[in-house]
Amino acid sequence: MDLSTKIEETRKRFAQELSAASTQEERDRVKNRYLSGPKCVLRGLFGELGRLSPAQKADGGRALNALKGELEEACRALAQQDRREKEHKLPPDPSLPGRLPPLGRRHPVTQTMDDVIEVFARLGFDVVHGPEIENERNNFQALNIPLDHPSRDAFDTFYLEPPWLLRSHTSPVQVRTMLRRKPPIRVIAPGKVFRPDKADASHLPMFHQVEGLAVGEGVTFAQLKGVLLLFAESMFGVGTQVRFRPSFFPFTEPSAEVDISCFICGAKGCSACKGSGWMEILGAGMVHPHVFEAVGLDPGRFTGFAFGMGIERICMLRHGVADIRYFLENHLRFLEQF
Amino acid sequence: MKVPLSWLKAYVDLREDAASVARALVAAGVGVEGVAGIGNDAVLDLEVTANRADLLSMRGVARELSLLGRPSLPDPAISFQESGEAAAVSVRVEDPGFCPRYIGRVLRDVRVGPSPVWMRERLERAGLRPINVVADVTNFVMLECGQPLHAFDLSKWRGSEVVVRRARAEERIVAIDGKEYPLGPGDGVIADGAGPVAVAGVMGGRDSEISEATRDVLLESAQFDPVSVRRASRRLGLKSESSYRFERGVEWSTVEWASRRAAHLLAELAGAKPAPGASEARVSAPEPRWITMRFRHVVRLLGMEIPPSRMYEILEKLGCRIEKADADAITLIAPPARRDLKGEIDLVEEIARITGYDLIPVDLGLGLKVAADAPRDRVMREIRSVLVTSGAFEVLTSSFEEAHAQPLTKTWSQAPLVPLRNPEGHVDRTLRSSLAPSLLRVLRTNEGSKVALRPIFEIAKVYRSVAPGVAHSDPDLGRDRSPFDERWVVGMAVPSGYADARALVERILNRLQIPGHIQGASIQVEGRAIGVLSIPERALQELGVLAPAAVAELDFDALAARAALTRKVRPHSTHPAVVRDVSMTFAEDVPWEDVRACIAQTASSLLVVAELFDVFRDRKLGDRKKSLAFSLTFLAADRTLSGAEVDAIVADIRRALQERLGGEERR
Ligand SMILES: [Zn+2]
Repeated sequence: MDLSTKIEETRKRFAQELSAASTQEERDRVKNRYLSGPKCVLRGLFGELGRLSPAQKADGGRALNALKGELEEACRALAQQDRREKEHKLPPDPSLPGRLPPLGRRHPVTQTMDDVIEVFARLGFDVVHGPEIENERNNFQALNIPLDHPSRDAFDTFYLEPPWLLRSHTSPVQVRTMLRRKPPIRVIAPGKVFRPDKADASHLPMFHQVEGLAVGEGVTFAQLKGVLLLFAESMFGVGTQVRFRPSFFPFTEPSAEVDISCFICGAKGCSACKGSGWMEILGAGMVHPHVFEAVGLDPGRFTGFAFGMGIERICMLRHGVADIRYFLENHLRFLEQF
Repeated sequence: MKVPLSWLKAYVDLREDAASVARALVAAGVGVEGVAGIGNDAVLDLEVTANRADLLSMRGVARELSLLGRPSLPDPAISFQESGEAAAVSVRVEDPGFCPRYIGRVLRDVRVGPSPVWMRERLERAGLRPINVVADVTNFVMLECGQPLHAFDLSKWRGSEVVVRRARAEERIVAIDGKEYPLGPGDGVIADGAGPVAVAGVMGGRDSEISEATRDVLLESAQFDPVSVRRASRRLGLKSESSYRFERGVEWSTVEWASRRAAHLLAELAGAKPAPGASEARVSAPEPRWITMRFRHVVRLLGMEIPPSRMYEILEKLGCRIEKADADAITLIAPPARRDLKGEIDLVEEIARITGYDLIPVDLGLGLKVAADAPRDRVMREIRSVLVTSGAFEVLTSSFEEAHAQPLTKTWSQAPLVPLRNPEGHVDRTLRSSLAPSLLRVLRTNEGSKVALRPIFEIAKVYRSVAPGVAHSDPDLGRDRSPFDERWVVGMAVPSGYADARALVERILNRLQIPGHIQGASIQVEGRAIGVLSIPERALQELGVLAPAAVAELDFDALAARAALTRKVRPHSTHPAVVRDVSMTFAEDVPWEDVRACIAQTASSLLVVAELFDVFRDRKLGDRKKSLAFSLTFLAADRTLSGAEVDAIVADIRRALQERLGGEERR
């Protein structure tokens, strides 16, 4: 019997014996007989190589190595199958928890921010960014907020070296955008803003806003109402009502505070809406002609609307977060709930 | 501002309850913070926006309610008998720009006692403490018409001249709060023959204050420059009801009305005898404010048709004097009390406000437009998603760092930090130049609450000063030659150590298809350092973090510039892979990186994965030896590999590792 026939026989016999073995011990015995130790079947076959011519020896060696690999592979596969079957045979406890690698979390403020951005992206607003270190001109004067004016009281500011400061709102991005793009413009600007407020349950010296701006020929207050209604319905649910109250911001006129119907009590009045049925969520208005003049756009030709909202506040309302400081404390027990 | 309903009713005919008044005001844009009941009265707490100085008085609020349809009542009475000699007091204003109008009125034989109950009650409900009849009358008139008044004890006046001027160098004043204040050169003061007796518009001086002994009173009613008053008030840290109103501006004609109204009340309530006439210094009355408003412009801006007749009606009710009107436009003189009405847009707002924002239609017709792609934002989202699916928690930490804090971790820029001034102007903090300390503090906080730690990350800006003239590009909306460098950084802190932090970094690079590699603490791409990765022992110790946490920081802009988010696929094999596990013993100083490189060089293209799964050390292996166990996966695109073929390659690899890296077969 030449070597190749023996190899073929060995392969068949091994397969039969292995399939006949019903326990792991039996299988180990088969494996040892063929593969382990100086007296195993495979060693015997390798021993026969010595009797062959050099050319036959090379072919035979390759064939034997292949056989060895196959047998090992078969043992490994069977062992694996066996392990799986064993697990299946364990008395089932369907109440055992599933096992998965743990997931992380996006920060709740990022989640709300992304949701807001997505709603406006669907309405065709481009996302633009501006620097957090701003100059007085973009943060104040170009927005029709004169220095030494009471309208600045709402915008207490961290100063670096004057005229540089940490922006106290995202509105300077309006100015930057109008200086660099020609109408029609439709953008939102998300980002961090800074105010020297003492941290308490509803204030932080650093928080996030999203600013919106649309400029063109024939942009109207009625369209502003339309866009913000669509936003409110996308963000807080179809059927959400929107209320516009006249207000004052130096960079818009007419200006409005915008409320949505309370989604917690269904506008019946609860602690979240202080009994009023309404929640104030953003400020808005028509771009003031002085702002257009500051950026070199003709207020006789273009009109526009702008709006801005605090992301932490919206996040708190959505999730029932009682204290804004939780966002900066980063307790994992808080974050893992989002 | 607190507005008692009972007081308001003296000027406007209200036949409704406080809640109804509040609703009307809110709908017109006058904020109502709350409504409090006091006995059978109610007090509205108004939040008046900075543009509406005209609402800082009872009559102003009454005027607004008349505009909203409530009948107005006649003006309060003013009638008093002048007597005695004309007062020997003259007024001199050095800087008319600072004080366009000043009226000084002398009242003699004033009986300084408590004011009547009705006046004290009104003041208290409006939130002011009654003092004596003179102070109470000045406060009462201020709340009635918005014009602050000040009363001086005339017997304390040195000389006979009232001088309105800027403070001189080294001048000081003891205010009625008993504290001495050094005056600045810009501060406006009222001075007698010897020096300042009041900080104009801000606070009176102690020496000329009205007392029980006061007989003759000098009553000041004036208009001061809002900016100067604001600066002085801020600089001195003195805020008063008066400065609040002067900052927002008082009205020219009310200066006189208030002076006469106070004289009337003091004569009636305190037996005062007004001297004939008053001393006045003034520039000419302000020019009337002419405004032309185009009817079409209102429609164009609001997106709502309002008939010109209706607009005409609203403007007239506002108190505008209409000079000319035709089919296209209306030209008018704005009401003196509404100094915020300066241009066409202000009238548009009034028309929208009085019409009611509710009646403006909702227009959903903003044209369709596809939002522009924002690749940098997509890269940021991608990084977040890689980290979150890898089990990391995103955190949000403050951009501020204590000023004295030494940098605790290495960053790639050594430029100076950015100092931050507090509201008092002192530098007590800096803007952070690294996210690592904040991230480590978050780990410490959570260690303290015994929660199982997780990898955390933040994507935020860090800040540096740049030398003047150093240009740097900003991928955002540009810069105006800012002397600051702010840049986005991806920061990570991994409590389980270096290997896991490294895995996160590698996963990000891989996901963004950036061919980077990590050399010690430096993360390199194309020969440039784009990040750092290390266990910051000193920072861990100083911040009290127990876990052997590793931190990594990546320059986001560098990642965004090189990221490829669109993935191109290669044909994938459907044949079975062949896996071989190998373990070999190496000297301790042979890094896995070298082993991996050697395997890659030796193997044919059939090797698709070489993965380390165990590092084993044991005395049996020998001193300073380790055993590396790794699995090699082989796969061919076009056929099923035979075991023999793979084993031959594995044998080659073993030989190469033996020859080049001294690897030994494990026995
Ligand atoms: Zn509610």
